Amino acid sequence: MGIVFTRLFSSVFGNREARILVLGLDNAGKTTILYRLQMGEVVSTIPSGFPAPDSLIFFLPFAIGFNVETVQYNNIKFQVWDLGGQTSIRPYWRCYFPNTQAIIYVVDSSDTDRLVTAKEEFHAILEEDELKGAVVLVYANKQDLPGALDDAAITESLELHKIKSRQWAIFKTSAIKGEGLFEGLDWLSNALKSKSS
Amino acid sequence: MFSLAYGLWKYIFNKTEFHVLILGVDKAGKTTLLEKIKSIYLKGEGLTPDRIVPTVGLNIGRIEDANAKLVFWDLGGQVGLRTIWEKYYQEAHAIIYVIDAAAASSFEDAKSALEKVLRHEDLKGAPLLIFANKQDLPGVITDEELARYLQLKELDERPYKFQAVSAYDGRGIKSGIDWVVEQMERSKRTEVLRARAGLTGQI
Repeated sequence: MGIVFTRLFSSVFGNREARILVLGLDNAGKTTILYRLQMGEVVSTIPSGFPAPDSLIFFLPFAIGFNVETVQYNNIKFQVWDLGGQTSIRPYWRCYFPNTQAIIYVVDSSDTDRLVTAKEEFHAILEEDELKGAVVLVYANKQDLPGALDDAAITESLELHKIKSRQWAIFKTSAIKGEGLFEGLDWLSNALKSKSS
Repeated sequence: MFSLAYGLWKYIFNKTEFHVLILGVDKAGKTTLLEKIKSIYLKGEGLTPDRIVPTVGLNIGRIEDANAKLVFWDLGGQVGLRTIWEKYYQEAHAIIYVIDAAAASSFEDAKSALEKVLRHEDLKGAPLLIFANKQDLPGVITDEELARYLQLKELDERPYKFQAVSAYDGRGIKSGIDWVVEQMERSKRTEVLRARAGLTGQI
């Protein structure tokens, strides 16, 4: 699958450094997705092993509780963390915003109780200045579970229509079964390509 | 004094930004059209048709012609996703409605979806450009035939035009866009949207 990935993205970024953030509430399936894509080893980082920008090293002692997973794939860095929860660590998120080309937002489509939170966190992150240009791909994940909402319902719940100045798309996925992930990446590579042209 | 002059300069020479919604049922060729528009106006390479996947969301294209900046919103046309169309109506200056004129089986669906669009209050007065797309295919019908088939009754209160195009080879697109820009420039709706945006020039 790594080969598919190379085919999709090598032509998009060339040799430029790029960053794709994979975000969502805890338990949405973000890490499973990274494993499914088999792009490399997922490095889970607790603060002691922070693969952080230099500027952040200084703050490490304060950053306890902020766990970022990173997969480096050629020149693209995929970085994953949970939204929601502690407000004290949120300022550190900004260290990961520069050069972000895309956000992959993962939602547990069966966790209807937390969709409101998922929506709020989502729109809050889109407000960030440094992420204004990033393209948005939403994975309506866990479609294999009973009671999972479909793409139209998740679109409605997340209020995706409020996004008007950047490209977005939503795909039904099951990370466990590996379904839908590459269709989404297809769209993403197209969107990034047409944005840069 | 400078800022006054600068403000005047901006007022006169700043191009108005128009939002154009590209709607139509799935497989009508909306995204292929958008990419073709981009390749015509931006001289770059848009995505080629074989790379385009069904849209399940929003694609955006920005172009500039002599007088105006255009922002195109291309929304997915699958049945379950049409509910998001109306969320973009309020800020749209005009609509391009794309129909696959080579697929007679889709006409009924295309017609009823279009009628629903035209009935919506938020689109009042918005110029409508209907693209009879896929003119490159055999068995395609012309723009006049399509107009006769659709027999739209709600068209009286807005400027509209049928145009034969091919998003594949590009024919008809430029004259369609020229028409829609001209309509938007003198449309009452544009004034209304501008007033709502608070005279910032950012509409």
